[in-house]
Amino acid sequence: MSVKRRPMPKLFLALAILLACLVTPHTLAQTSAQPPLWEETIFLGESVPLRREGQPLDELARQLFSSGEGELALSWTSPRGSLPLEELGREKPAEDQDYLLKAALRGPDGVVRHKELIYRVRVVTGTVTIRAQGAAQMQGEQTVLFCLRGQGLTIYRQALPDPDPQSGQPVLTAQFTGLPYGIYTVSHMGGGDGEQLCRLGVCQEDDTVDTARRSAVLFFAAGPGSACTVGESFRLRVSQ
Amino acid sequence: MRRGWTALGLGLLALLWGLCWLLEPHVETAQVQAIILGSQDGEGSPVISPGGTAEGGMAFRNQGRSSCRLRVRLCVDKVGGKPVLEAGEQTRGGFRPAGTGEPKGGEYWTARGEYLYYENERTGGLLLPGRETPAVYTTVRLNRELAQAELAAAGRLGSEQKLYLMVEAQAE
Repeated sequence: MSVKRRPMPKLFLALAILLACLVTPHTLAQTSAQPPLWEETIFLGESVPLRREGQPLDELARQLFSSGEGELALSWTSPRGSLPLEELGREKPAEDQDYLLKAALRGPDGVVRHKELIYRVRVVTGTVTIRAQGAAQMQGEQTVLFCLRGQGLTIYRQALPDPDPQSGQPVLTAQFTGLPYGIYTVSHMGGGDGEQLCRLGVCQEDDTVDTARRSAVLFFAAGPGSACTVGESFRLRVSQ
Repeated sequence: MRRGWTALGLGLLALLWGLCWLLEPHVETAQVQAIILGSQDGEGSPVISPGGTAEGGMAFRNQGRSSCRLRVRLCVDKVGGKPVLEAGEQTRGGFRPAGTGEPKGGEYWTARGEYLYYENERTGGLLLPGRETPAVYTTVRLNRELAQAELAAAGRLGSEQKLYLMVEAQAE
């Protein structure tokens, strides 16, 4: 049995070769020129860490070179421009941020070697969820308003019925998101069940910041209050 | 004869129940309806830019059978201790925060402490049944004292800012 191959049109072949010639070097250049990456995760409100796994960044930079002996010069660049190491340590990024490190090492032989590296700082934020039970006692249009205070912030959120209450009992929920680490107080506006304290990202044992502790759930009793809440929404046009 | 005594006893009981109902102090619950005066353009909430204002407003109508007293508390988010939104009125002289404007027709809202109280010179501060209050505010402004970083922080809390009013009404 013979198979007859249809000859590939010459024009198509020529185009394929041309495309391969154009794309391959570009892709290679991109992958080979990609500088190494250091990555750290911080809580919103924290400063950029100047240590990784206990080691100062400048010491780690020296280890980028096969022989770390000699005089080392470092320069850091943020999207806003160059900055010294001390200033980098005062930066409190509000979102994920890349810093470019350029290191130059003058070896004992007088030869200067260069390395580049990206220091990526990932920023996580906290969430406080309120679950208010006893909503069955609420009258008609009455709603529940919660207030969260701390870190210079005061935020109000209206509790809305949980679409999927696990226990089958009506539950109201409210959520505060995008929060920096810190200690907050949450109160039920117009309700008499007092305030509750909430630690977000802060370890109770030693007050250190832990990015794993980024969510908290508080439980309130949502009895009928004396007030009813109404609200109006406005969209902010804020340039970042 | 026995039936007559039973009927008389039942009648006395009914009379006693009626007297008790009349003499008992009745606590009417105030029925107040909120009226949103702000413009909704159909595409969502009004947009406010830094330094800018948007139309807004809230008034209340007494839908109960008794007169009532009203007070409201404005609840707006704060960043760096400063309110993100300010509710008030745009006048020729500039922006006046809610509760500080000129009384109109003897009816107005006045700020005392954290609350704004409905005042009426003719009724002694009572909102009569079927009547409507003047607007608590007509304009909402994005606080001009917020620094760029504070505005960005407000944006991170949510693209929409809500202005809440906690309303307390007491029937009299």
